[in-house]
Amino acid sequence: MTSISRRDLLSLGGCAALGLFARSAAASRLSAMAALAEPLAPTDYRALVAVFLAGGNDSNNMVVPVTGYAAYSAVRSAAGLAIPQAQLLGVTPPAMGGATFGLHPELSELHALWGQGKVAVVCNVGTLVEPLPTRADYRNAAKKKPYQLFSHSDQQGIWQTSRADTRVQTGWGGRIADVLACANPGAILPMPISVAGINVFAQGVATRPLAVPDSDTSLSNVFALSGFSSSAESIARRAAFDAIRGQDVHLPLVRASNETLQQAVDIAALFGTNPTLSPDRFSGLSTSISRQLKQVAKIVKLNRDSAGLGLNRQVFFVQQGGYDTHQNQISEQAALFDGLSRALSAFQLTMEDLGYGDRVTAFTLSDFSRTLQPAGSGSGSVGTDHAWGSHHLVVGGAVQGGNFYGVNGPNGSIFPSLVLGDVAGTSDTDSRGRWIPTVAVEQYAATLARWFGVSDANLPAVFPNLHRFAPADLGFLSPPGSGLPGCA
Amino acid sequence: MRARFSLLVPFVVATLGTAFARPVRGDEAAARAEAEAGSRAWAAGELQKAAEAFGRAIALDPTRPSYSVLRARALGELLAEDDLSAPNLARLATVVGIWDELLAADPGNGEYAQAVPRLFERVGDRAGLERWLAARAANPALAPALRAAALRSAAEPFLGRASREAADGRHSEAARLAGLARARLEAALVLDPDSVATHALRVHALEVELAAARQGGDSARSSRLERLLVHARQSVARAAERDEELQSPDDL
Repeated sequence: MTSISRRDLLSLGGCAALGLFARSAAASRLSAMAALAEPLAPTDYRALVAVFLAGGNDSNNMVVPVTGYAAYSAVRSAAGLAIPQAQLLGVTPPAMGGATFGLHPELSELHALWGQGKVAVVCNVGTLVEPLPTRADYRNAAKKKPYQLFSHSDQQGIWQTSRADTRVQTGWGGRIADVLACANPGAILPMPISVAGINVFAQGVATRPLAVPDSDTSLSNVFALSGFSSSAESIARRAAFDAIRGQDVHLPLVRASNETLQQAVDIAALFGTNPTLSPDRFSGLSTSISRQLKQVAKIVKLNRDSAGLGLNRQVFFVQQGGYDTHQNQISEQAALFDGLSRALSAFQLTMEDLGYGDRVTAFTLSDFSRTLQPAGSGSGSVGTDHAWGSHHLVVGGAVQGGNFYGVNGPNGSIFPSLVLGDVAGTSDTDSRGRWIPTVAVEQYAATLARWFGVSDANLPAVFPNLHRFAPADLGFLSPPGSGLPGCA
Repeated sequence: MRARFSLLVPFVVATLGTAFARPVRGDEAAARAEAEAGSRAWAAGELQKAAEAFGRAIALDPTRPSYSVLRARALGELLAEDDLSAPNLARLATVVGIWDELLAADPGNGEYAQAVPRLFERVGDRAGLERWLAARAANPALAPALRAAALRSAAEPFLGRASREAADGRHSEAARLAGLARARLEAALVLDPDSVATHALRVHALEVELAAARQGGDSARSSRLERLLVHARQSVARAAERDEELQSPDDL
């Protein structure tokens, strides 16, 4: 028999797993969260799906006022950046007093879901340390502002951590998983799963996410343990591989490594079958965002059908890149929105096929919006620069859809006035149309978290700065504020 | 830009007003005030008050379809769930009538087009929904893609039931339901031959039928369905190829 060292065995079995799976090395931290997480599982299922639009989505062209189109057109038409009014997909939000708006023409699938009451728009959301109701507040040096405004990496981090006052190592998806660990008692699979690599959003104090590739990789191959066969030698080698993970567990690093490897082995067993979606609503879709959401759908289905999983709460993270449209915005954003709209619609239809249409809620995040004032000119090259507050989409059967949500700004409306500079009632930071957010990331996220089952008592553990903003729940999900029994 | 039903008929809210008498300026302002009062009532969960306020806004300014949309939305929210009583069905008919009028004036409007089915579902009137979808599919005034979408919607419940029957081992009934679904899907494809979604659903229907044929040992039917299935899968691929925007470069 070939001699194999302990190190060889670990690297052999772990090569596929360790690159994809990160788990807490500090099991003792679990006890810190134990007081928050009580062992009573709910019987329902809910999932949150964060869709990160990386690069800073220009939401000024995602949701356009039709009533008041002239103000928008006055800034964007000459440079070739305005979406023609006739192409907009009209919506009439009850919150807006009869004013009409239009979605970007490439969002037609989401527009159809809007008509079915399954899509809502949350207006002018952004990173905030404290409320900045007016331009004067923004310019007041005594008022706290988010660190590194307009910087991609910093603002992406803040959107994912919900901490605009300081850098932290945990995200709000992971912290939700921390406080709701009680929802998935004895679970092998972590609550947060990323299909877009490791990110801070899904990191908790005690929770570490699972990262899986998109649907181009079968779930049964995600943690496939290669190098073992049915030969006697291989069986003996596998037995040694299993036994060796029980050794040296008094050494913290070895124990952590063993636990990580064991968890990968356990998950490989759970992922042993690759579920098929029937009907396949993703047929014909080939974009990255569609493959990521398809993988999420397959995991949701596997969890639904597998007694070995049985998770009651799941948090997913997917990402669509390419939104940093300093140039060529018209064509590039159209292509991105087309992919996003089709993928989100296919995902929602799949959830309905699974009977989970109102149990899974997808929502967008993004670094920031972009300047209303164009950068450059000419429809072939015009773009926009980094800005701040942006509109976001929430999709799902539990969404109180077909409406806009938000907090009134200086114009008395939840939707910002599209007027540049220092004009009464506007919220431009300078003169290029960078809207000061009227909704903090915390409020947006807390609304999702409350629907997901985080109790009011646990909200401060997830969102330490939430108390600075009102209301804590924007009301776009139903039933709002359904705290999870046993997790309070 | 892709040519899809939402773009076939542009958003024509502004032009809808020409069918109505113009209000005087004071009425427009008063109507706006009523609509804003309706929005506040909506936000407070007072849907009856909201519907009444939107109704007053319509009376003051009938040129703005958005007030009718809002009234229809509020009335829709007031429908009792899973209630097939005569008064509730009468209220349903009223709301459906408003949406149908709005769609008749703006036949490509996706917001209007999608608003009705959920009302039938809310009330629990499955038969009514099927009748309404059939009427929509047969309405030549509507865009073909919209009519095809109605047929696809009409097929979906049969497919869902077929899947459940198949899962429970009742393959014969599953095949019957899948066949009904497939007939509707094929009618939809006549109207809108490039719909990837419809082609994909047809594949699913054929898969259910094929499973039943194999289960029943009907080799002739199995062979025929296998050939159809191969062709249907190719149709999905071809429809996807025709849709250039499905070939968008990867962005991640």
